[in-house]
Amino acid sequence: MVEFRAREGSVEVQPIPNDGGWVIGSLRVTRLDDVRWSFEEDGAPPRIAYAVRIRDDVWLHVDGRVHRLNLVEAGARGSTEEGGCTAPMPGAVLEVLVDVGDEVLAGSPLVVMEAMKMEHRVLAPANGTVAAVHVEVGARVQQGQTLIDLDSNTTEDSAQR
Amino acid sequence: MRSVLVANRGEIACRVIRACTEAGLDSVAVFAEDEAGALHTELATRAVGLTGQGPSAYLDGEAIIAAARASGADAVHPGFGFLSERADFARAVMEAGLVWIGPSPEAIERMGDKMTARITMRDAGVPVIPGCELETPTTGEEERDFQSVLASVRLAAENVGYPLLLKASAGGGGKGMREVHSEAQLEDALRSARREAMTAFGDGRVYIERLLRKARHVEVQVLADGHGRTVHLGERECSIQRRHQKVFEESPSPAMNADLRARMGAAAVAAATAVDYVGAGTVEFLLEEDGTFHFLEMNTRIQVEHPITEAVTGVDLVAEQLRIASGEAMQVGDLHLQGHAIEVRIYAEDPSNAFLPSIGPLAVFRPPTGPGVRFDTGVREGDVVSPSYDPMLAKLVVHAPSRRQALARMRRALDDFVVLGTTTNVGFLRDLLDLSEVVNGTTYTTLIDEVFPAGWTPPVPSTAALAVAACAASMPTKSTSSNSAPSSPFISVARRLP
Repeated sequence: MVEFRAREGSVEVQPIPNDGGWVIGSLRVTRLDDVRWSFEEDGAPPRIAYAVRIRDDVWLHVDGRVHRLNLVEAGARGSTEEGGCTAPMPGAVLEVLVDVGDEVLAGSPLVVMEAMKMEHRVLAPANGTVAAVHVEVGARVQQGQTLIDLDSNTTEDSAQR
Repeated sequence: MRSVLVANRGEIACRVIRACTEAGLDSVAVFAEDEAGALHTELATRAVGLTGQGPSAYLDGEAIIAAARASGADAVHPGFGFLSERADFARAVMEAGLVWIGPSPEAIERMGDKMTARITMRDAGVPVIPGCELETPTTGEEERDFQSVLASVRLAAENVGYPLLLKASAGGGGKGMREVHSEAQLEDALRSARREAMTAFGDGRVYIERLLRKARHVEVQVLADGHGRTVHLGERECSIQRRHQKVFEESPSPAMNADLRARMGAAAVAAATAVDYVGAGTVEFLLEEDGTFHFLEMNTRIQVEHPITEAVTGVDLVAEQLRIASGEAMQVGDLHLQGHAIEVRIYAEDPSNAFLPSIGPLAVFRPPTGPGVRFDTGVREGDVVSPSYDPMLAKLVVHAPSRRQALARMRRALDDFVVLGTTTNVGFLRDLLDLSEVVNGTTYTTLIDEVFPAGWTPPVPSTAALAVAACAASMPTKSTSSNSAPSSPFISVARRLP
């Protein structure tokens, strides 16, 4: 479930992975490259959108218009922006979803945390292999504390820094 | 002339450097410490670092002349802004034995002081806005001085009539300028205009002009060489502005006809000849609905919006600047305007938040292309927009056989332009192009304030847009050298949608 801030309240969207892409209602979305996406609805010709995620925002260009959509779920933020799997805020570990040696895909959940009575998922910043798990269920962690070590398959991210 | 130092940055530096390359000249870029690796430094033959960060580095005339000497440049092109209209810099360049690519320091001075320019123009037979020059002291904060200034301004205001504009003689960019609608407002307006002008220019002299409502801003491009030839290259309509900042420009003006163009062109040529102008310059006029026009000011440099004139006249203005500066005669034939050109200025600003400057990474930056589209910029994908400099990112120019086709081409080009990671005015510009005043060409300088009194509201994303965004949300943050750095200024200004 992905939740965006809207003018009034928020909007929830649930993309369902399907055949290398996603299905949302009658829409089918395919990723073409780093920034280009294709989407089609009910047999209409496919259209192109540009979208990137930058921290808590998804920037989108579709039908000649740019939208900046703010994600409500802050849980994924710490992990992706730092490029490591660290706690985005102080809190407690509710679930550890991976073991050492697991192959994970970018964006897949690694740890579920709880803070301020809200659940946050810490997501994998890149495709990779879990090298170490530093926490167990119930542990109290500080903001920025490393939860998981991931051997990234793509080193491009760090090489560019 | 073999090597030209370009004393500027951003898109105009790139524009001038490209013209140098095409003319077979070497070019030298200069850059502030926070602009190492900027596009203009890569395009130039060589690049010289300046000391310091931000605009002040590009305002250090001595350092720039030293850079010219050290790099073997024999000419200096100032671009626009920065040192371009500083007579003392032009003089220093010439005294250093370098070619100054611009008009003489005397011409810059006579046009730079607005009151002197008014008097010069009136004497040359160029119509000026009804008004009155005043003998007021340059400085003087004491109340006794102020009361005597106020008395003379009040007397002059009665003759000119309200509403009027109080303007600083040394002013520019709206600084030291006040609208006065009645005598009751005069004292306050004078106090603040003088204070502002003294702070900004160290010169509090003011004059008054009648306030012309619903007037158009129409400017005429002139070109003069050292062989006694001065021509005009038609007009540019720049009526769509926001706080005296031009947003949308076109050529020819929808309000123009051949007779009026001939008369305004002759006035512009007279203005240039009156100050022995050499090089490219722009004479700005206010044009009233009944076809009356008045001299506003002359810009003694290349103008931001020069590409629309290049499109409709076929004249490469920067190439002509280089040619004229090297002592040759201009290569411009009889004026023949072809088609219609429009420019919009792409700003890193947030139209939904009082047009405040925005900063951030240009994570995706894909300018439009295709027939009749020109895109002048100083940035590329992966660059970071910093808060230190002017927020203009680029100029998008289209050229088409007719005005209607040019508008359609501009809509298409804006729709094609993808820029993600930094908020821009592209969506606002796209809506602006659908306004009936823009479609019909009945534009005036207060249009934006009147049509968007409460600002601009971004479009609501469609369901399909949200679906794609949700899929993109599951992807890792796009890695660019800029936005992945934890110290990026982007973090602190991230603004949430309401």
